[in-house]
Amino acid sequence: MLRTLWTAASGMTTQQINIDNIANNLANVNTAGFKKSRVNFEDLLYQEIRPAGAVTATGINHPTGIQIGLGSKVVSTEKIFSQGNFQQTGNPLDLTIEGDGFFQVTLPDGTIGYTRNGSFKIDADGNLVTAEGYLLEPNIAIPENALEIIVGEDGTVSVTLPGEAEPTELGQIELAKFINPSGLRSIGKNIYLQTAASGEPITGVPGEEGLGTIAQGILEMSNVNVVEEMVNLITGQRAYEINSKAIQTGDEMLQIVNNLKR
Amino acid sequence: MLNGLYVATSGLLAQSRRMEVISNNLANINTTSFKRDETIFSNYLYDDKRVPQDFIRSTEYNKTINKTVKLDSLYTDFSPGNLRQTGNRFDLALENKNVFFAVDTPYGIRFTRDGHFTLDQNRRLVTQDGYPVLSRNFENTNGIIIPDGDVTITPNGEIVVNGAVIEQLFLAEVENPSTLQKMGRNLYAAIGFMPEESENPGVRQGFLEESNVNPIKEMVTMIETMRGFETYQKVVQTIDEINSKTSNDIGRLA
Repeated sequence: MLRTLWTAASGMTTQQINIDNIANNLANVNTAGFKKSRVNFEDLLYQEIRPAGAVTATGINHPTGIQIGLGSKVVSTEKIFSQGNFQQTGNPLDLTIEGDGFFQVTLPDGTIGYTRNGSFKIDADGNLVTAEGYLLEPNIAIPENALEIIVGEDGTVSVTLPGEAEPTELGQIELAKFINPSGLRSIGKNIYLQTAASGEPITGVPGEEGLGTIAQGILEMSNVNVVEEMVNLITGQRAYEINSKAIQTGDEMLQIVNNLKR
Repeated sequence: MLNGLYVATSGLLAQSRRMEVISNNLANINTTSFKRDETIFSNYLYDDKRVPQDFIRSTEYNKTINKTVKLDSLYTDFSPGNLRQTGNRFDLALENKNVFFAVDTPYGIRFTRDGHFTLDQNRRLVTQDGYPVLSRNFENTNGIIIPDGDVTITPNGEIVVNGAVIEQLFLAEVENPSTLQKMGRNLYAAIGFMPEESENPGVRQGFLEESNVNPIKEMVTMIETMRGFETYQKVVQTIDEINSKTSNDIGRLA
């Protein structure tokens, strides 16, 4: 009887993680560059009460065994890196990657973080930084007297300076991509870190080697689909409810057992 | 008298087993490609049709009363679940019944209908647990390496990258899937046999198979189980009352 309680509890726990995840997706429905996650489930171990092929008293092999499952578990929360919607902002420092790849930024501890959020700013020293102030890698410094900033599809950053007809090229934005982007680690602030599962970053110029191109004046919004999340929320809640019913029934059965002795 | 008590107790035990199976089905209501289990009981109370096997056959008395209810076996219902569209290129579902993907685990080859695959850091096609998916070419022990490019997977499991077939998945067909043993992690083991290669697997790219648990069915079975449990409890209590009469009242001298 206790197995029922724990099995149903495992079902409630997995559904709770599922709903936690949906809530996070919905909370980030308007976060630029946010990628939704999906929770994946698996069945837990099976307790073997009688193995298949066991011989009965009459010498017949049981064709099937008795294996009681012990519930479910979460095997992974997987980021889905599908393209988000584009929002035109007109801000020259809002950049979008059309296709695969991540912007590289230097975190305060010196490691490289990866982000799809291309809303860049200029810091006090003229460097291109994220909203948190993390430097873009490779670093690009915008001169103080720049009149216009132009970012090409291939990531070249140029500015027009006063009194000059031709734009001056300042540098080129490089993108990185991963064999298994689902293996990246999210650390919040729209930043991902490389892990053993993601593989080494493959860096390159936008538009080459399968990397996406850069579009200026556009922001990539989150790829959360509210309708899809709502449906997941409903099924998740029902699954949670139904597992709680199983716990109730298990509890009632235990109560009956207790009432056997009067 | 104690005989009856054991019969009722066996009923209580069988019903609680059944409840455990239901709760496992319900816990896996959202598990990709999960197949529900069903309990099969034998030797129902007062079932006279079956020839008693393991008790003295000489008396009619034994034939009617000495039967216990027990969980005879578990049957896994392999009917296909609904297909859900995900759009992910490495989400694969199998349209046809009794077809399984083969994966290479540290414990040997295991079978699964959970086609929720991904690439690992070496570009190898793996399950969410990191087990490599087996290719049709068994000499290829490195797993299926997917090069960069547009990946399409055909209904018969061919992996096409940039227009060229690079590999084919091994898709096993198990004629009688009830011979498979559930191992957890959405995996099944084929003990003592190696399944044949499927001729018509029906792979669907961008889809996942949902669990085939039907909540209504499970709820009804749960109610039935609960009521059955209550009935056996009443039987136990009644027998206990009779026993109490026997020992306390009959023996009393007026």
